[in-house]
Amino acid sequence: MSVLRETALLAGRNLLRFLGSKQLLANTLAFPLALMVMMLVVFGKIVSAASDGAYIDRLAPAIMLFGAAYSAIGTGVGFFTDIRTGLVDRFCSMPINRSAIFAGRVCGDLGRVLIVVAVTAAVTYIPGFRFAGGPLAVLAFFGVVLAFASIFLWLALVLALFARNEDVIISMLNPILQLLLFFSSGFVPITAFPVFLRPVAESNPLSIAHTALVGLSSGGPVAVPLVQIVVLAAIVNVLLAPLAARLYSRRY
Amino acid sequence: MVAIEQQPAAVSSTERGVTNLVRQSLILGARNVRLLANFGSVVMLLIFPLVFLYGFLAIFGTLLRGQGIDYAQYLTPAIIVHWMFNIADTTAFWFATDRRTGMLSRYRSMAINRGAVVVGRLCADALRAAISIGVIVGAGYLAGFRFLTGPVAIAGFVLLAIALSMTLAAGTSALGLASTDPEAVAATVSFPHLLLIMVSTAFVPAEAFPSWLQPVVRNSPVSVVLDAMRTLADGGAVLPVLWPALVWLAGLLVVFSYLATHSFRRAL
Repeated sequence: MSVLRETALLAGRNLLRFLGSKQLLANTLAFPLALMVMMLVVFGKIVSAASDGAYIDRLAPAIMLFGAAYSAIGTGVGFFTDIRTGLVDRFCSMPINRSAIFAGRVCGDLGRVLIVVAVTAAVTYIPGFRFAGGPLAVLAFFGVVLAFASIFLWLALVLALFARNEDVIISMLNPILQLLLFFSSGFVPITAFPVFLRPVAESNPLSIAHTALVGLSSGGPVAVPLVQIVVLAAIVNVLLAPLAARLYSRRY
Repeated sequence: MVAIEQQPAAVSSTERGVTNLVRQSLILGARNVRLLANFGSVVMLLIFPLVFLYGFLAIFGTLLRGQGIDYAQYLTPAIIVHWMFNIADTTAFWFATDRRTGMLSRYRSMAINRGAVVVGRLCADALRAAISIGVIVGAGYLAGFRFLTGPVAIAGFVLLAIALSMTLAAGTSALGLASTDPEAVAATVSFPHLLLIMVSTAFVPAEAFPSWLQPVVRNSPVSVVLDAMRTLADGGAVLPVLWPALVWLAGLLVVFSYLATHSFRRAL
């Protein structure tokens, strides 16, 4: 079997497990949606007054990106469980390519991200979010979300290789993701930040991906942020995938 | 043959008396505190509050200053209240853990006052509440928050926050003691938590909400307690805002304690 087929097979296994767990499904979907409703109700009035355009056009892509990055916690904990229960060892003893074990986890979880983001996008249509850029822009939109998500899925996977328990994975990723969300253009325009924080907020990968998504859905700059986020994701994928395989062989 | 007389009502002496209760509560409280020495709890108490405080300040500070609100002064008590909720959420988590691992059954088999199990839990949680209040107030001072009142008001501010945390902990305990799945309980309690925090004057003034929602926002327990805490920090007439807060807390405490006692009897 080729690496690709092995990866697809393992990815399918991970996706099926996710779809089979009702609680996991509910948690992954409920959190981003709850966040969206709350931001709209609590801060909608204040932010709309300070920026042009409807708040949902800014908020919806941010919620989708956060949902995508937040899935990394599930990836980290899930892969840690696979290591702990010996499943990864079992795979290693089989005549399959070792990278497929890691790539299978990430690809399967990217499928999960796609489901979560598609559902979130459908729900954001209720308060008025629209894809206004045509079918190609929609494809590019989901492509950017997946590229962005892959960065965090690989990070979580490497973290799972180092972690001593699940608690460490959750407690490390949670504040990092929250920080990225706060210090980004996702909730308010960059101009609403204090001057000394603007460079930080501008160079936040979540802001870059967010600018590209807003451009693709409701208009604005696309080319530069799109290239930036795709390059960043490519670098992370190329570096972390072999690194994960090496770390695993060294540690276990 | 000499009949061996049964002791009437075999209650060991260590299960009675206030001294025993206090001593046993301290022992169990210390055990609960020692369990906090893990990465997750430290992040939760020391790092996450700073992310929230500075994060909200960064994104909404400038916007709300435009509306004439000193956001560091406004937000710091809100983050404290948010953390009192977080602490109460973990109370439920720990009770469910103790129940699943059999620790509660173990306590039951010991000759101790059962109240010590609860008091020990609350002692550890009050300590966590006090630590996070200290962290958040310290971080708030760096951002421009100030107590503009005297020591008595500051003490009232801290006590009110801890009282809120204990009241909420009674409510979450009712759920935690009824369950053996800590993760599920943590997820369940986080929903009323987020709802109460968001539909309140914690992050924005009531005027920022849609007008039909404003009466609910103004009278929610979180807003009412926060009004009292903000007055205790900023100065002003305390009594008119303090008594509604105490009424809310007392009411909730009665209901929650009843439910928690019920769960406790069934769990232990």
